[in-house]
Amino acid sequence: MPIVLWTVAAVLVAAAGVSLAMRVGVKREPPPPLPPGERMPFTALQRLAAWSLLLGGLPAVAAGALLVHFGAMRFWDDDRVRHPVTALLVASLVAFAAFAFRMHALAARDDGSVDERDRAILGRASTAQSVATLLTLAVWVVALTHTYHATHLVPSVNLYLLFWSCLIANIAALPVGILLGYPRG
Amino acid sequence: MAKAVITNQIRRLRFEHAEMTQQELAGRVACTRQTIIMLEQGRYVPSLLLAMRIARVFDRRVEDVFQLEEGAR
Repeated sequence: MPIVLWTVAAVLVAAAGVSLAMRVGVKREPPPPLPPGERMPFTALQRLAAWSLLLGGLPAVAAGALLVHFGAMRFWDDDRVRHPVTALLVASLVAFAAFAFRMHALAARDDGSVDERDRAILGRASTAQSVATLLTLAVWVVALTHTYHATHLVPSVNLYLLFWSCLIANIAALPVGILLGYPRG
Repeated sequence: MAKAVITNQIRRLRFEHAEMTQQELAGRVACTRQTIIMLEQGRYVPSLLLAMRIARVFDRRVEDVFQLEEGAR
C-alpha cells in the first residue's frame, strides 16, 4: 500500500480512536425532551469548535486529497505539488491554532457565555489530543516498518509527512474532543 | 456503596417563580441555557458554586433545590 494511503489510514484510525476514547464508559441516554420543534441550543464553545473543525479541516482534507492524487514521491520532487500542499497544511494549522486560542480565551471569560460545564469539556478534550497523536504515530511506525523493512531505507518525505500528520491530528483533536464531550453531560 | 444521584427541583421552581425561562435563569447564574437543560434532565451535576447561585435565585437553601438520593439504580 502506498505510504500516502497509510497516512490517510493513520488519520482515520486516530479519529476512530479519539471517538472511542471519548465514548468509553458513557452511558447512552435518550436526548433530553425539549418542546416540539426546538433543538438543544449550541453553546458558544460548541459553535467555535464546529467552525474550527470546518475551517481547519477543509485545507487539511484538500492537502490529503492532493497527496493521494499525486503520490508522496511526486509531492516531494515537484515544487508545483509540494508548495500548494504545504500551503494548505500551514493554512489548516493556522486555522486550528487560531480557533484553539480563541476557545481558550473564551473559556477565560466570566460573562456567562462559557460556564463550568464548558470548561470541564474543554479540559477533557485535551485527552483526545494525546490519543490522536499516539495513534497517528503508531500507524506510521507500522506502515514504515511494513513498507521499508526489506530495504532498510526510509525516504525522507515520510518524516515530513509524519510530522505534519501528527501535528494536524493533534490540533484537530481538540474541537473533535469538545464536540464529542457535550453529549456526556 | 450504592450508587447515588443528585436530583433537583429547578424545573418546578422556575414555574413557581413567574414561569422563569431557562434562558433567564441561565443569565442570572452566569451559565449557558444548555447547562440548565442538562441540569433539569438530571444529566449534569453542578459545582457547589453554581448550586448555591441557583438556590439564591429561588431564595431557597441548596438542599431545597438539590437532593441526594442514595441507592438509585
